[in-house]
Amino acid sequence: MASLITTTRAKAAQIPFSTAMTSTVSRSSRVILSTAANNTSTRNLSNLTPPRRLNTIMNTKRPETRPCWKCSTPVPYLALQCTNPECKVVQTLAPGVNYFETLGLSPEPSYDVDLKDLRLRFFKIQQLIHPDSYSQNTNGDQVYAQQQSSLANKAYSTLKEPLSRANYILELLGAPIHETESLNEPELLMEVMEARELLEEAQTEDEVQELKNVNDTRIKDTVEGLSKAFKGQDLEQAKTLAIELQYWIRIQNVIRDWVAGHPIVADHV
Amino acid sequence: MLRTTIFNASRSLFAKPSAAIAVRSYHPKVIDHYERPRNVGSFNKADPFVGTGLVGAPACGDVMKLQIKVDEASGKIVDVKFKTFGCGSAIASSSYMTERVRGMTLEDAGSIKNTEIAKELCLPPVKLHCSMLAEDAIKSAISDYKRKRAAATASA
Repeated sequence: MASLITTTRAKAAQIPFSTAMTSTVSRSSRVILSTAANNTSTRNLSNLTPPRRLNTIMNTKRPETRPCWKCSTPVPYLALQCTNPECKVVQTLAPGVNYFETLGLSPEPSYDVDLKDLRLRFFKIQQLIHPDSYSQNTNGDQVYAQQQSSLANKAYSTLKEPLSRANYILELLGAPIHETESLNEPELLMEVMEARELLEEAQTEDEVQELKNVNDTRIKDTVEGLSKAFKGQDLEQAKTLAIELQYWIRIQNVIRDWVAGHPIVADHV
Repeated sequence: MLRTTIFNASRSLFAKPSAAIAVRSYHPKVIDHYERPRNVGSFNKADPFVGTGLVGAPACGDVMKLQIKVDEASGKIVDVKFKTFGCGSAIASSSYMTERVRGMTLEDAGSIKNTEIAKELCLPPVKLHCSMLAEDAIKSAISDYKRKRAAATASA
């Protein structure tokens, strides 16, 4: 139920970003993605929907307030609770809100987040609307508390990780990475294959630690690159780097689960 | 060590799982390929009669290498090897593909559709992309071989 709601909200917030992107079409792309459904044609990454500015659309579409479902007092659009001191019930989920707004940040997606600040915001929301505080509640807003709490969980867990944050922003900006895409970028794939083989052959903790150091550097560099790409609104580059990060994070997970003497066969379901 | 301890402890705590827990289970055919993968390994990439296909799935971070050894006179695939880092379905798809293309002409091998692999392994819809990856891999290996041969004949 909750996941259904968050998906709808994410979809409602799928509004493209800036017109500046269209000028980067001629840029030679490193990654050629071929849609697996149509293998004969290769698709250039720059064939993305031309993005538009997010905030202009949002400001025109969204009212500043909405009536409380119980007492009809107009409450700020994003308010979690009714502002009427007599009422104070938890509000229903506001449609068209992205995860940044859920956590009280600007609706403009930004890759650079202050993790400490994010955590504080998340805790504050959970404190306010944690379903347990409403378990004995007769107002009937326990369900809304659950939905709000679940949305906040989803928003926080998505935005706190560099990979899910990158993928989420790409989705918001209309450039998601599809399951059916296949990657044909020899340089990256060769590096991944080599890293995976080294990990497969590793015998001792020390060897794995060394591979971990190399991989940590890769992750750090890729995250820095993503920050730059998103800042410069270079979606094509951001998508390329998000794909790279996916590979490095997978290696990180394999390293985390590594136990001497246990071969790694399939590393996820 | 700590992890195993915790795992065992938690397992005893929840020793009786309720029947309602949904388990994603693989089809026996997938498990068979996963437990006894066929033709795992590598050929020398520089061998003029070896074609290498290296493909990846960007959404999940899988990587698959499929290599073919071709007999130039008959134009048939005489040997196949693969190496896949990914989920059980991706391993099974590539393992099955190596069995399927052995002895085939390049043309026949290149026309194998992912739907055939998915059907054979009874892959669920969420795993269809694994079979697509295997189809991409064989195609990529064939075109690598053809590129090598074209370069060799041009320089001869």
